Amino acid sequence: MRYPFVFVLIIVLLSAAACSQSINEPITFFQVQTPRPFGYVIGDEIKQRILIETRPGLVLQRSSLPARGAVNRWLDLKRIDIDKTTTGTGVRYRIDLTYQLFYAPLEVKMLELPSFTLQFKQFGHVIEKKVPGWHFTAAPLRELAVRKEDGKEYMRPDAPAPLLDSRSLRNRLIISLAIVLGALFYLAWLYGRLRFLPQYRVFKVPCQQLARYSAGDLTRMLNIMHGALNQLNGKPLFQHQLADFYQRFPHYQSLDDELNWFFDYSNQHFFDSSPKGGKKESDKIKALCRHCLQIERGMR
Amino acid sequence: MIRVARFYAGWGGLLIALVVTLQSSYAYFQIIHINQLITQLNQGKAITPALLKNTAPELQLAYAGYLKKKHRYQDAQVVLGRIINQGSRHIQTITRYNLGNLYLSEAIELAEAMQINEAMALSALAKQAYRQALALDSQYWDAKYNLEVAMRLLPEMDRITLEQDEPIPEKKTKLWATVPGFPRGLP
Repeated sequence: MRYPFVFVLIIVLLSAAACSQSINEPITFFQVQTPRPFGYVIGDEIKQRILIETRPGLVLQRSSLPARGAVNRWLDLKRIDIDKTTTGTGVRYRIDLTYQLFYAPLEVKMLELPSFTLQFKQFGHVIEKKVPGWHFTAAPLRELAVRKEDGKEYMRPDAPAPLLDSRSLRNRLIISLAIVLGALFYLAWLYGRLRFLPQYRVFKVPCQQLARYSAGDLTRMLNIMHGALNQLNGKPLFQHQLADFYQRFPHYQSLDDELNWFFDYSNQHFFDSSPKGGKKESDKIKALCRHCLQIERGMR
Repeated sequence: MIRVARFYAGWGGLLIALVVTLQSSYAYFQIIHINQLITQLNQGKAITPALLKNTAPELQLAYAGYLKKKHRYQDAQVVLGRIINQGSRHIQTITRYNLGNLYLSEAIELAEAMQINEAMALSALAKQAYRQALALDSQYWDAKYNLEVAMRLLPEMDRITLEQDEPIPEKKTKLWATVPGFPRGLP
């Protein structure tokens, strides 16, 4: 029972010690990150990152940062990005400075990013931290003594005007053309003009099959014709559903008499005790199939 | 009812798509036409002035290049000055670079004719234009090179001397970098 109490006491004492340390030290972490210190030429950008961690409540005075724009004759400060995050132990600042170099050295030359002093404020007190200057070397791009007479390149030529970008418009054109074609296709389908679609190729094979049978195979012939009509309908078709069938396939309405005869005869053939039929009936079934084929091919 | 709605949808879709197709094909062929003009001008061929009414900065940029080839520097400057803030970032960079080239070519010609003061003024303008181009695109190598050419033509007056531990005169230099022109009281 006593051990947990001692443990808690140690934790409290340790954290108090940590707190007192962070109170004594206003800036707990400071680092300047810079890229390679050599090989810069005129116009290059140099990025400097400053990482600072402070105790809670310390506020960075933005006015203590160098101002954007020209730092001196050959150095511009292009961008300042400040990222502030609050951590458990204090405030973390990430300051990204982007300089641009405009110095044309005659030979490799050592230059310096100027130093400056960051200021933080808390309860009216000002705390300062100096960011040291940073040395780097810049190099010339061209030889000192290039003369026009040498026939060498004295200055770089003009940039040709770029062409207008037509890609997005071309894509829009292609897409809208595709939609036009799609709409035409859809309309053609609605108006029943697409003869090559499967629903327009129902009766070809049955007609060929029927042609092979004679009056003796009436049961098979009826089965084949029923199968074809069912396939067109998408589900078994019965006589009482013909009105609905015509609504979906209006072209077949002209065969109303023949279809009604076909269903009547089929009923008679399958359910009568003594079915009768001969050449006349088989011819009529063949004719019905032929007419259906003509309709699906748009010839009727 | 649903069948009728399908027909309306089909026809409506077709109409809308047709309108969009016509509009975009018109715009597309216009762009193709402008690109033809730009190619002609880039190759140094003249085009009829009526076709230059189009305000696309790319076309005007090509026209300025054409004028420069014909040594009509003033006209080219006017054209470039008109489109200096137009178009994409890339176009603005090229406009500034070409304007810098225009000033620098003139400065070189004047320097060869020993008109040093005029040459210095123009090379200062050229430097300004190149710096603006590089501020927009720091990886523009041609602008870097020509800025160095312009700087050699008119050397910076206050060479920094870090060896002597001289502090950088901030106040003074800030003034310098923002005021265009050239120093007085020097040869």
